[in-house]
Amino acid sequence: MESASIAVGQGAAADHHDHHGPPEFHRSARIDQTVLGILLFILSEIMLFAAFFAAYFFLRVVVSPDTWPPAGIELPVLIAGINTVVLVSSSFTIHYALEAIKHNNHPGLKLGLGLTWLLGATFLFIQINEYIHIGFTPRDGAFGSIFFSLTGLHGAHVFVGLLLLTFANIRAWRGHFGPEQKNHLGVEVPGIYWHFVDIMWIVVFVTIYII
Amino acid sequence: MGNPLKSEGAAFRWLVAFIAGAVLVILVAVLMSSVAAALLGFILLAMVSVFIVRGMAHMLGSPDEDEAPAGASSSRPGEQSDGAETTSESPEQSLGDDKD
Repeated sequence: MESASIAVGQGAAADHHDHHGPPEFHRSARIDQTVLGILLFILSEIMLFAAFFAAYFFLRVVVSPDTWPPAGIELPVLIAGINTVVLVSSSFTIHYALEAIKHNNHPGLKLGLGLTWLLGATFLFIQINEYIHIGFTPRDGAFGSIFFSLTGLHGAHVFVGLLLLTFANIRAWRGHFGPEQKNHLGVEVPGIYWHFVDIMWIVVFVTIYII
Repeated sequence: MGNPLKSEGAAFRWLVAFIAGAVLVILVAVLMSSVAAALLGFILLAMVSVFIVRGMAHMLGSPDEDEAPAGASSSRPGEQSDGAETTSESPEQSLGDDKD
């Protein structure tokens, strides 16, 4: 009884205080931590890709200025172009999914996220198929190395994006998302990442296959 | 356009802009030369970088800079806040508001 009364007394004393636990954080920027996290992550990713592009242009301009790509190597521009359309389409579907959940349209959210996942998986499948039939390997000189490095780095990002989309799909089917902004962060943040991955592919495609 | 990492909508608009830029670069590569296309691509990327850096510089600025009265006491990052909301833009607005 005595211990119970002590506990009650302590609880009453605690109620008199306005604040418990560690002090509230001081917001040092105009954005919250979640957005700051994805921002810093994507900035670091941009720097990673920039290093690979620097290597690509160094090899192309300084090491092999005359023949690029080397003789005998024919890049499948048409297939890569179709693959680009597939990947870019997936950005439109994830944008549709987010707009759908903002209007409390759960079937639209599921449709958009599902299509995005399928298009992303199709992109990866086509790219792996391209690797198998392309006719050269990373061991076949500088071009092979940088080609597989750049496209492989991007493919790894698509794979990570697919993992994020898998979680988003599962959560969508479980009804975790809602129209309020705080209730669909699980779609919005992967959406930003997915757009980044698509933008990077546009740059990779134009650089390697077109220019 | 603003900062592409502000929200998914902002990132999507930047994606559309990149598609338009890529079409332009591809046209130059096909109709003129790879060197001209590469130069155009670098110029476009430089312009995009300036836009993005300016947008992020504002977003990463301290909310204390938004306080209206000049000469009023302002707390620095790391100091204990008095609990009053001093931001002009809430975290929800910073991610969910698509207006630039």
